[in-house]
Amino acid sequence: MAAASAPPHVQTDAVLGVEALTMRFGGLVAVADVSFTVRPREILSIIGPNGAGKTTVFNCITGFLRPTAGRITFDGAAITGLRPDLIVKRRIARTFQMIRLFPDLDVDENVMIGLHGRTRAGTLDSLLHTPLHRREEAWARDETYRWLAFVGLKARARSRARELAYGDQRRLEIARALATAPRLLILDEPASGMNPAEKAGLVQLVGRIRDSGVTVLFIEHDMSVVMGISDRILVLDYGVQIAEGVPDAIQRDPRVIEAYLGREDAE
Amino acid sequence: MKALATQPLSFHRIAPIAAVALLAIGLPIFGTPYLIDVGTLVLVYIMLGLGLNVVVGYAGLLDLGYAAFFAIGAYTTALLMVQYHIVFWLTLPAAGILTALSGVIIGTPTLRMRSDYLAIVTLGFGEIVRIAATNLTFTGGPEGVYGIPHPTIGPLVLRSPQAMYWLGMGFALVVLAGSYNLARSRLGRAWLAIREDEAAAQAAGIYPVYYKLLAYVLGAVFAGAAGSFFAVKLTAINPSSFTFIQSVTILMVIILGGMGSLPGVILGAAVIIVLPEALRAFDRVRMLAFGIGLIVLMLLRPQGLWPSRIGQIVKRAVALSEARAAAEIAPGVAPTPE
Repeated sequence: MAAASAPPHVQTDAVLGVEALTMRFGGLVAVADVSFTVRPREILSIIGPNGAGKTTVFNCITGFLRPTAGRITFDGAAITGLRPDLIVKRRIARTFQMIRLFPDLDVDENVMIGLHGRTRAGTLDSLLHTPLHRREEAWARDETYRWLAFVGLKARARSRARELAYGDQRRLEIARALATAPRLLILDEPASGMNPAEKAGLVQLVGRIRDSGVTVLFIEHDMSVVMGISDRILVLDYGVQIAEGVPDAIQRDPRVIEAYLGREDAE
Repeated sequence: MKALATQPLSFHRIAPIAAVALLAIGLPIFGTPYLIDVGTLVLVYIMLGLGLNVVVGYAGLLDLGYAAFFAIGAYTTALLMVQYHIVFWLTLPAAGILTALSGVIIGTPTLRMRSDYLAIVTLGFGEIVRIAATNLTFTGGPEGVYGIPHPTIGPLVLRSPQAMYWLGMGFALVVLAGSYNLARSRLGRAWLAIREDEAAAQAAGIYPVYYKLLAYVLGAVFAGAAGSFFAVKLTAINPSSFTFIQSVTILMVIILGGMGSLPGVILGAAVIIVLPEALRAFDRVRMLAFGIGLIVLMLLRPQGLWPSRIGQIVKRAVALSEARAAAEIAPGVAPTPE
């Protein structure tokens, strides 16, 4: 793909642009002046020790936090401070660090809720079950099962979400995000708590998601996952961007090594 | 709320429905006028319960002033019929629009608040409507509006208890069908999502404020329809029918029946209306017995008489948010998935 060969810092083909993003909570600066771009169909990882501000960056991009300063663009249009549902409408989807499913709903219902923004049935359609509503429901069911098959959960469609194994819950959350038809998928530590087999499956799934044309931005702790899958890596430490580059370069970067190994705060 | 399932119709599911249908059809044929009137009142409370169920059961919003919308519907129909001689059926859209409008006006600024604040605001709204109706001249003050004409269908005047019962049944069935469809729709899923996890719902592309307002307004319109029927059923209305106690009674219907459950609402309405009537033999201690009866019922069946999956979800969601809050206070004890 062009992404791998394109020179860095050429912004014209950027899907997501983050410029001078700063987030302060009272006196605490969680994210300080972070800038980066994500190019179409690449997998960009953000890594860093706990408390480095990775999730805060994600929350700013997805509208769950309004940044103190800075600008976020998607496809050239500013999306800074938009509501989360409007960000989804712009086709950016996310998962959460602590899985947030609808645990008491069925697996297929979880995915179907992700189709909300892609269906139009209004109040009267819902009250009367109009032909439009019926057509949409039939479409939504097919679309739901398509995504369940994609993540490998079709056989569990009628189980309660809470009954799934941990790794499957992560997959379900990804399926719900994919159901919104994102162009950019943001995954917050999707491999955390997974066993090695589940991690391998996740790496394979993320690869397939990218191959389907979706750009992936993700936070990860697990270096084996990050190094194996990322086109580029961005390193944050105490809210400050300390390195950016291809995996090999990042692995040798002395500032990164110091941030990870040189201090005792790696919790 | 099995949105995707088409459950097989087993005897276990059919039998209670058949029993209720038989009772509902047999009552106006074999019942005394008094019994039919009690049945009609049950139908009014079924409508009110179903409407409030959309607000509390589906969307998870605590409304303590629901009787206000009941009042607005009743007064709209009563005044339009008595003062302007408009036929009953044409007052219905007017009642719908007015209740929807008041729902929007009250809901828009308040639905962003947490549920306990919302409860206080709706309580205040309920009292304002009742006090306004008591003091305004055009609503007839404390005496209210009387001489409300009987509704007609062509040359047919609906006057007898049986006729009113069937009219009420028609209203209740429409509201029931609407509630049933809502639960199995895109809207129903959105409400379910918001109530289970608001942040996850947002991440799925749902704007919670809009859907909360929609639930509130739909609930208001259902109450308005119930009010319109109530006005022509009694032919006279006054503010004493729309007190805070009325709001609480409607809330009791759904809590007693089982939050979010349609059969629960029907059962709850029947118990709330029939139990005090059945206790008339106890005379002076009647309401005391009724109160004790309710307490015992809630102690024996806290989940409601006919609980739904939703009721359990609400309970779990509360437990979960409490667990989350505890985890935030003490991050060290937060459950880490391993």
